[in-house]
Amino acid sequence: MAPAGREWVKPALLMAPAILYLTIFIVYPIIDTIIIAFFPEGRFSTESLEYLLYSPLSKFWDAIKFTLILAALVVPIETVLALIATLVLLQPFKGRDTAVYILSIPIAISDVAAGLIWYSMLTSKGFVNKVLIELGVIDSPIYFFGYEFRDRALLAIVLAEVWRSMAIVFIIIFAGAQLIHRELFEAADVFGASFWVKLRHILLPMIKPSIQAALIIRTLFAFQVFAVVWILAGRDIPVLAGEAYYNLVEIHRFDVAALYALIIAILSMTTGFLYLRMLRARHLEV
Amino acid sequence: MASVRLEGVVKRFGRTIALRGIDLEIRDGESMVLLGPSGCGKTTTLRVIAGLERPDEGRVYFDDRDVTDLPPRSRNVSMVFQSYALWPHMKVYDNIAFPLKVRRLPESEIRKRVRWAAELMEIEGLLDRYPHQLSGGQRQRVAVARAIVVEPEVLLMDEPLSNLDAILRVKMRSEIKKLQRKLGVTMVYVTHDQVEAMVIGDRIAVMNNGRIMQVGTPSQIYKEPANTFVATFIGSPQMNILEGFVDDGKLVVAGSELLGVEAEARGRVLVGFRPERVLIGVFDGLVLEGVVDFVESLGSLTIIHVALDSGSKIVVSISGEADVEQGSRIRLTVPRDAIHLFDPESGSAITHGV
Ligand SMILES: Nc1ncnc2c1ncn2[C@@H]1O[C@H](COP(=O)(O)OP(=O)(O)OP(=O)(O)O)[C@@H](O)[C@H]1O
Ligand SMILES: [Mg+2]
Repeated sequence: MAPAGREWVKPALLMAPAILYLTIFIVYPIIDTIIIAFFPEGRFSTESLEYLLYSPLSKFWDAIKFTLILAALVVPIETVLALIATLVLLQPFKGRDTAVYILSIPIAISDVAAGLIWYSMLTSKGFVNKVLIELGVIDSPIYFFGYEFRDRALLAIVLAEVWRSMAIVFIIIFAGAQLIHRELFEAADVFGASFWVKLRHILLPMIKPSIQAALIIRTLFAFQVFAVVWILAGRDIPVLAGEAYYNLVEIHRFDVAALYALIIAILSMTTGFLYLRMLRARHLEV
Repeated sequence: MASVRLEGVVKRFGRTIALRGIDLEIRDGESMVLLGPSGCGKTTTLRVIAGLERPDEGRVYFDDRDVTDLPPRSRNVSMVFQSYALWPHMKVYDNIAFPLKVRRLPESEIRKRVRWAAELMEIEGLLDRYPHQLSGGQRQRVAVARAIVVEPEVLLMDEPLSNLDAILRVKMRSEIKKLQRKLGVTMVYVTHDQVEAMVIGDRIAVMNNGRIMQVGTPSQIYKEPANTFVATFIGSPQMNILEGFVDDGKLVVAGSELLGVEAEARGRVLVGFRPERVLIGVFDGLVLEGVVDFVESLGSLTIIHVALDSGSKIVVSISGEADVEQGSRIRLTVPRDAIHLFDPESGSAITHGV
């Protein structure tokens, strides 16, 4: 026991590294970003905000729109696909390990590479068009890229993003599902549960924490979607991280870029908080 | 209700053979206890009956229906898992209610039945807790409650009372027995506890190493063990086994002789007798002499370890206090009807009583 009056020393020492880490890598950068965004010349100014909201050059509202649309399409689609893959791969069958391995490969592929792979597949002379023409399904190539084909480009981005990031969702959910003791499913079998009852009342509630972790990670990263969009559509489909990059690198509006960064951070934190509230696994609480 | 029949069931897990040809019939409404050492295949047998394990060879019948290829949910069985298998995200109430909800019973009926099962298992105060908030024994009783809350054709219980204290165990085992009688449900009950086996089982199947060594009523298993394995596995302290010799109606064992033995046996035999059947003093039967090695007084029971003059050691169990001293000479009699003869090669019983 520490002598009376000094009980705070040990906890404080134990927490110090974490606090130090958070200060250096989270708190300081945030403060610095705020300064860049709102104190460009050492004085408070809302010029960055005005530019963002009212300048005809700003694509802010489009960027918000497309970022949210992409997140709202990509995350649910890949989560459902990952759940289906988990269900299939929980069954023991020959070649299961190989299938798990293949499904996990995209984790090792960078987003730039993923963008380039799908770009080369979907261009007018790409793999997809060639196969479709050879098979006689279409006469002339389908164009996915260019401003007038924005909807198709969006589709291509969703495809590429789902392909690229489903792997991490799958790994998280599959790992969680594998931790469930086999007898918990067998007990449900014995007591007469159908496939759907088992899915709804045993598997899903038990992998809720994994789904939650996957959703948080994926939604947060979805708000930062950048490379795939940049490669497949450029600024035709503006997204928040893309606008931050554009302002920073192409037109050197550092204050606007910093403001974009702040907006992404606020969006991410709010969503993370909401997920934690919504998906609480009550049986894991003490 | 249904009878259960296993025919030549073989189950392998990779290179281990868990079941090496099980033939077993459990009659309609009967309570059958599986008894045997750890790893002998008791759980695997239950899982084959439940449909959780598909046998590599052999068939499983419920009445005359071949259910070998039916999934568990089509068999109408219910089971207490050795590991309880309670769903951690459901409260005790929902765990017990699950089989009823699956069967789509009306809500009021479900509530009534869950209460009934919980009261029987003395867990009615725990219905609102999650499994991780319960002790091992409480969890086990939830598992039993979940299994009895439905009326299955076959009730499978894998050591359902192993984690309870002695008093609760005695109480619960008579509750389970009463319930089984009342419902007339066919039950297969796995236990390590011999007394439990004797109380619960209409018949007992003694298993060893993936095989059934003997099936019989508790009294048959005790009085007429089919081989040395069953003879020594059942009963405490263990049955004494000595090497002996039969020739022309004469049994020679540990330097003593017994005449007028009417047994088919000839030549070398194994001679078995239970510690509790041995008498102190000389009467009609096989008389043995030796020195008292040491004495264990258990109150209602006295266990005397004796070194016979022939060099063999035996154990004698006398009810109540016994007036023997360590190091003193002692003369003992094994009555004729307490002597079992076994074949020394196969271990099979030749005769019970000589
Ligand atoms: N899934 C499995 N994979 C491999 N081997 C298994 C498996 N299940 C059981 N076995 C083996 O089969 C044999 C029988 O196991 P089983 O669980 O039926 O024994 P048991 O009689 O129930 O033992 P206990 O009294 O310890 O519960 C053991 O040797 C065990 O190691
Ligand atoms: Mg077992």
